[in-house]
Amino acid sequence: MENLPLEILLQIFSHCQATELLHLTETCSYYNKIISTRKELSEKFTIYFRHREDFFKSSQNRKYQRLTVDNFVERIHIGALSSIGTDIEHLEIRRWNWNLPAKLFLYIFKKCPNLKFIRFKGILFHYHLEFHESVQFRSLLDLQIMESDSRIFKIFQHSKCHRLVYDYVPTGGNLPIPDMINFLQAQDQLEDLTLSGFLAFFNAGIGRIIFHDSSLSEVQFRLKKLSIKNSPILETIHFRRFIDLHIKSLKYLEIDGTEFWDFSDYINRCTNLQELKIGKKSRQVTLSCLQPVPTVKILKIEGPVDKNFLANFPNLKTLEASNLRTEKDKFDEELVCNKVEDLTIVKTWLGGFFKFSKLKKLKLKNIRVMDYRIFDENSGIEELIIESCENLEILDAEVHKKLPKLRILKRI
Amino acid sequence: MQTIKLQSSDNEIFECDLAVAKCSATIRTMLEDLGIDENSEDEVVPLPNVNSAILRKVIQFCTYHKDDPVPSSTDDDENKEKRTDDITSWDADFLKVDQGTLFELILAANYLDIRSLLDVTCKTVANMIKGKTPDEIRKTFNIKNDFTPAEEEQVRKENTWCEEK
Repeated sequence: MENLPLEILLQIFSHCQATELLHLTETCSYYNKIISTRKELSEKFTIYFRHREDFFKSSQNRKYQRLTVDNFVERIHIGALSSIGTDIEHLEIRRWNWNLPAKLFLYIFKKCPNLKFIRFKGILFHYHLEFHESVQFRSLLDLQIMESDSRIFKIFQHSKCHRLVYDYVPTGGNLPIPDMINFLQAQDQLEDLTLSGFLAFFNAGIGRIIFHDSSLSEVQFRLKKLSIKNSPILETIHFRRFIDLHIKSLKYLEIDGTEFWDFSDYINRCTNLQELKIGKKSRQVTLSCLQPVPTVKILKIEGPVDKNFLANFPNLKTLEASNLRTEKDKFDEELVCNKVEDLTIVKTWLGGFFKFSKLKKLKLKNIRVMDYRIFDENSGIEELIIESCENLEILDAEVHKKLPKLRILKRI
Repeated sequence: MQTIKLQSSDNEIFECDLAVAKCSATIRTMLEDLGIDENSEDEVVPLPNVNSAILRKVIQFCTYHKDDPVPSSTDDDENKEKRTDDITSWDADFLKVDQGTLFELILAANYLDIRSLLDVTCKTVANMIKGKTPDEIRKTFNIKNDFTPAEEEQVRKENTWCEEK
């Protein structure tokens, strides 16, 4: 067989599967060279790289920075990974076969200690899997873990990041949350945190796992942005203690789908909050005891808003509101907000009055019914943007007559 | 029925059906490009790379398969998962030969460009590799292990990942 020409060997090898190919690489250096350098052969036992060409091209000079792995095949040749250089800063892994060994997963990270951006999607581990090791990433900035097992945090427990996006899925393992909590409690560099998907816990004994009081309150935290989405059960792990630690530095807060929480207390204590976003799934219950928050300049809100609510934001400059009211809503009180300059209204029945004396920019999006009187009250508008408003007739001539200061009129 | 004469490397002349000979893309091209007159009784096509024993086997294979449908364009099967368990029993019997003959058949199939024969012979070799350890593969095919112990250890180590469940 050694005397067969290369083209024939390739023919034969093309009929071989991963295991046979790997066995062949062990027989002699010639076959090892052929099989590991031929893409069409080595890909049978290699992780599937989405930009395979990039990977192979760049792995030769070992100077590449991004590694995207799209779907781990069943059998993996670590040799393909052995050429990964330490230059990699950006790693994205999507879909992980949960039967694969944990040490393979760890191996990738050990090879790339200089990672800055990490994104996982759909990483699930075997029920019995436990990571016993961690890797310290000194330059980690951005960690996004979507639809993935929380045991993954164990790998990062000695690392600190600036931004974390975590979308929880309840998966196997006895107590899946502690790794995440341990990680979070140590994040004194964290500036931007998004948590979502805490809809139900896999394990009923979860009540025992909570953020604990410790000397942490003396640590200076830097969290500036916090987003919590679709996570009613975060409350049950005393997540509020975590928020308490960060509340002073918080500048941006986004909440949606936090059905059982009243966020009024948090917002009342946020002394630096500048931007607040409230989704429609949190609108009804989360802000029952709100007190004025003079620091907030930007508010995005989905759901009905009345005069009293807006009065809590006396220094509001930018307001984006959707579903403010429907035709069924009977209230016709005026919405007054004297400092708003930039107003975006989405999916709202515009039959009533908006009296925003300082309004300069108005954007209408998905509006079907409008009352021209809105312009009477806001004649200082300089910029009007009309986006996706089907069946809404706004005559240019009429608008210009009503809005003498109008400089920009855009239709999208 | 039209026939054609083929001459092996050891000067044995085989007379066979033109349709059988045309299973070989190489012979087809020779007839077309070199202007060998198909009607000429005395014209002999020389095949210097194939000996009489192998040529006899090749003709036997082509005679049996001459009426097989021509496989569709080769582009599609690039993407298809190649199978090795679809060898017909006639082919399997036909390929019950010693290893040397098998490799000579592969070389002949390659030279004569008979795709179906090349495929089935390569599959047979792939099947011989299947289920064997590296050491068994070396023994079967008489492959010389030219790794240094360190190199071998390295390759083996890299591969252990794939064995693990």
